[in-house]
Amino acid sequence: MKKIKRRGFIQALPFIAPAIIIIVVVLIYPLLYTFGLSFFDYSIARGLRFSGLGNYIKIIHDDKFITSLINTLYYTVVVVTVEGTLGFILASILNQEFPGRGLIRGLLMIPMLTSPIVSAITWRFMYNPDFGIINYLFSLVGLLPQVWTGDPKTALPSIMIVDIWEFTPFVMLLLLAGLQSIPQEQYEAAMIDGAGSWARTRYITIPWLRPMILVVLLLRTMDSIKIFDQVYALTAGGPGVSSMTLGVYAYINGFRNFHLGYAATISWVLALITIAICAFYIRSIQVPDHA
Amino acid sequence: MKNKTKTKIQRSISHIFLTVVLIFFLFPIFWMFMTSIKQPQDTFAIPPVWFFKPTWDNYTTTFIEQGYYKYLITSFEVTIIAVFIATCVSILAAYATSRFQFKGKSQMLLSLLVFYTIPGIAYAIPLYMIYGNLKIQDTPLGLIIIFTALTIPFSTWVLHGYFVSIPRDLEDCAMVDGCSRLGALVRIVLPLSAPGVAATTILTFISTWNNFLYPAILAGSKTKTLTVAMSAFIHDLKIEWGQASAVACAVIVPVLILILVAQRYIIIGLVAGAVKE
Repeated sequence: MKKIKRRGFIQALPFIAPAIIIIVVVLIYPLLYTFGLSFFDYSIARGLRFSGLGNYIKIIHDDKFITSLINTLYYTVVVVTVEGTLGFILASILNQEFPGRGLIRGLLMIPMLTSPIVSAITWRFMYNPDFGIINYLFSLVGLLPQVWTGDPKTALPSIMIVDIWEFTPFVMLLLLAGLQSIPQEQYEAAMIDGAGSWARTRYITIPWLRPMILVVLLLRTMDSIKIFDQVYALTAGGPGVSSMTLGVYAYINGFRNFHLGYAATISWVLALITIAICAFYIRSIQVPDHA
Repeated sequence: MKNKTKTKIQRSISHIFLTVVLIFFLFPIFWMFMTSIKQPQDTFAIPPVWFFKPTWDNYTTTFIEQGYYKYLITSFEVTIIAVFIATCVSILAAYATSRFQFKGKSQMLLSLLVFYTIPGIAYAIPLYMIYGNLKIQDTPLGLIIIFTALTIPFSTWVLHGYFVSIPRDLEDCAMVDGCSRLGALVRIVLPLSAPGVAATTILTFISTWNNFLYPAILAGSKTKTLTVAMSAFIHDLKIEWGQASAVACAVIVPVLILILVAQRYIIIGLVAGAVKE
């Protein structure tokens, strides 16, 4: 067996070598570089200077970092919850046969495939406090105009709305694919036994869909934690740090203030968080499901 | 009878809900397109102008007079080359992982997922410094390198799932008839897994085309992509929303076309990328 495996590797090598070389050089090496850089101070004037755990100590005492971390986690919990719920409802509706279903599914794919930076700027235009369409619609129904991205209280929720707009369709599509894989006989048998629609959802749909729900929520969690484009274009973390997330905070430290060592430390912490979640994700897709 | 009314009510509720949802999801894109074909004085009108004489001025001003066509070309160039190289490399890798047994294979496949979930900024900071040393910052080559590398994990993962599902007997026959492994891959496996290859190519094309972070950090004025050119509008004191919308529409149009012609493959790719077959 061992021999077969070794032969297998020798046969596989020419095929996998290009992929491995590219991944090692362009992805793994930079990640190690980031790790190394997190032990250095870098500034344009003085270049690199070893600072040991300096950056890590700085992070713990950095209020802006803590705020960014809290914002990122809060953001993630809210958008994943809303997208999961709304996506599930939509998938259930689209799982029924009705005319125009394919068209609606296609139309709903537009937001999730639109470049995040473009969607953010589109919403920024609509959020404009003076001439934005959203405040206009608010005035029509008698609501007070909001400053949206310019108010510390509404800045982060404004970005969440864009996220929900963009990625609920993603959740919907994957859950719909999951729903469509449930054998109809299951429902028919349950109906013969007198199960109502709630019982069918509770005892057939949700258990069947569970692996898919878990996978989708984990994917969305990883994506939300590293949120960058939308925050960058809508608020750049402001006003103050009221909508700052870890990705943007790393970017600002690195490319506005040119503290690349500190930026590397922040992004390394961010990477560790996503790797930890990814470990859960890998475990959840390895469990042999009943399909 | 009672049940029938109940289903009827349920159905109308879900129809109303669906209509509201559709408006919410489609309005922003529609509004941006409207803005891009308005005269400047109509852009900021309150109440908004719904009926007007459309103009393509915003498009001609940006793409022709201000030279934005260059950014469009850069975006296409970088995206097509990177996706092409990455797809070729991924086909080879996925073929090997689906056909040969070797130690650490499953760990290797699962680690691919880690690479595409790690936040971009963790790669971008070191690459910014490495590219500086190699003098490839602000070159198409620099963008092609990182986009190729980012695409490979996802493509290999999806293609592996596809290749595994293709029976080996056909290849074995071809190889008995004197076909080489590579020949068997190209002539037998690839045509049979065409939907999977199409799905990964389309999805990776869209995500590379849409990418903003890497060109924002690694490219300067010479290799600006359309997404970076688009984002530059927000740094202006007085944002030209009509022009910004025109550029935004140009970013979206290729994606819209792909949704129109290849919706099925996009769904196949998304599902295959998220779950293990």
